[in-house]
Amino acid sequence: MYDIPELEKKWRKYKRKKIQKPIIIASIVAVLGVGVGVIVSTYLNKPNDKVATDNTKAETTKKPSTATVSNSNDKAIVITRVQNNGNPLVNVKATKAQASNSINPEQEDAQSANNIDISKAEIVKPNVPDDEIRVIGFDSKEKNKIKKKYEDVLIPKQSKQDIEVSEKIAEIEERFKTYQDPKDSLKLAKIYYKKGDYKKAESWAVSTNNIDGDIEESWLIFAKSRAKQGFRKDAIKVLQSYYDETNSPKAKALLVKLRFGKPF
Amino acid sequence: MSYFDIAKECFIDEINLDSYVELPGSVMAYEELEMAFEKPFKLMLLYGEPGTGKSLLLKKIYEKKKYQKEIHFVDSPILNEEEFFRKLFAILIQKPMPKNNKVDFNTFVEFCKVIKGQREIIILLDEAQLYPKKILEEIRVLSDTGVVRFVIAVHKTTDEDVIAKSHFQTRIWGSIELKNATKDELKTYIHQRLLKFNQFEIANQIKQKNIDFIYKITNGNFRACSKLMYTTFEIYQYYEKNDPSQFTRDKFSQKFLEMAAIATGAIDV
Repeated sequence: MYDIPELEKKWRKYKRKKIQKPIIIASIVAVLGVGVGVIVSTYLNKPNDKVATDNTKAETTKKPSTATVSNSNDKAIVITRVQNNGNPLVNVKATKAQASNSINPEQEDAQSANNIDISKAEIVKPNVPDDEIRVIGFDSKEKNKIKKKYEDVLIPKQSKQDIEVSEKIAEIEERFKTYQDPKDSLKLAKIYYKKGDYKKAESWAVSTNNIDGDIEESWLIFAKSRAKQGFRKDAIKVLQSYYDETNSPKAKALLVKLRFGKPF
Repeated sequence: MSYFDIAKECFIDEINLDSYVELPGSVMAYEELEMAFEKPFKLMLLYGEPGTGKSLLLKKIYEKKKYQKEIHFVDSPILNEEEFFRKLFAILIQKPMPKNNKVDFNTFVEFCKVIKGQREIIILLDEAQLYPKKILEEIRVLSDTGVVRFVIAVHKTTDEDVIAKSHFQTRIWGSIELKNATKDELKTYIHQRLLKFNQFEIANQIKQKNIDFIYKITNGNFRACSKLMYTTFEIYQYYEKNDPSQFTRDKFSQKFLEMAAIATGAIDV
């Protein structure tokens, strides 16, 4: 008779290897996909710059020498100043409350609903990390084109609290580089998942699993992040393998939710 | 006897006609061999990888023909000449060779010449790749008499070339190759083995996913498959006794199958 407990250990090792393979392949494919996407979109956008600009033009205005951009959820701040030239303009609004660091005081009176020529905008970057900033205020079709064209038109969605979280992330990432502690990578996975950055959450969950394959929370975050990115089948496959191995009730509960399309 | 004990028994690796499963490949080989018995062949070569069913096929044809023809089945290889002569003596003279007696090989050849036209003897030799070259040479000479005909089963290895070409090239009337099972054949094989022992429940639980895995691991080899299944049910037995929560009785455990593959060395971890 075989030494079954020992055999089960070997089987766990085998399963881990088996699970990691598709994850690595999927990650490589995703990275390549994104890379190709970026290259293709960059290439396609170049000759269309002029068209994109034209398409974004709307109302015109004579007045403003400073322009602002606003956000429907009141988080945007003013970051641009416009050189007036009377050309067709893009309709972009600003939220006064958060704009103080970038608005010329002379124009404060006029900033409630300014129309600006964004192509002529002079950019003032807010004092926040670039990856915490996003372009808002354009309809979705135009958004990508505008984003490419006016990459410097940056509007933070961050509150002070968010910035603190960013600092915390940077600190943990730094610590992880040094100590490779799976607790840190798991923490990062959790933070990113909470922030809604599922791609990074997945990536940190994978890092955690690579160091220690027995952390259940990491498997669950991986599956949830994967599912949130639209790869529900992948998530189910990986989670099923994990469940086969561990009989974890939490994994089972999440599996049921994933299978039946319930929220998680 | 436990539920899984019986299932395990289904896959014991032995030459047992009760557990013989008729599959397209083996049926064809059997019919070809049966047809050859009606022809004046000197030597028939039956070859294939270990575990493809050569021994079982020889056993089956022996059991079926033993009352119709003078047929003998030598299931284990004879490694020295003296033992070979004793066996030959018993077959030709139909009596055990007296102790302390020695027979010259030419005596057998002369005897064959005497009985030519009166008797036709078929000898089935299993594991012929293990026979010494000298005995193989004597088999060749005997087959030339036309009285003793041989069906020799060999593994499909380089030795097969030695046997087939060096010794018997011109005398081999035909050769039959037994191959590993296809995926469908393997599925039938597993189900039939279980059904022969009335293990309907387990047979129904084994799904295509399990078969695909078994096929991938065993490459359709019957012996490897039996070994894998036997080990799987051994693992079932362990968990049935020690931790029954590890499996359900309505689904065949892929986990146990994979564990068995690791245990048998089919998967290297």
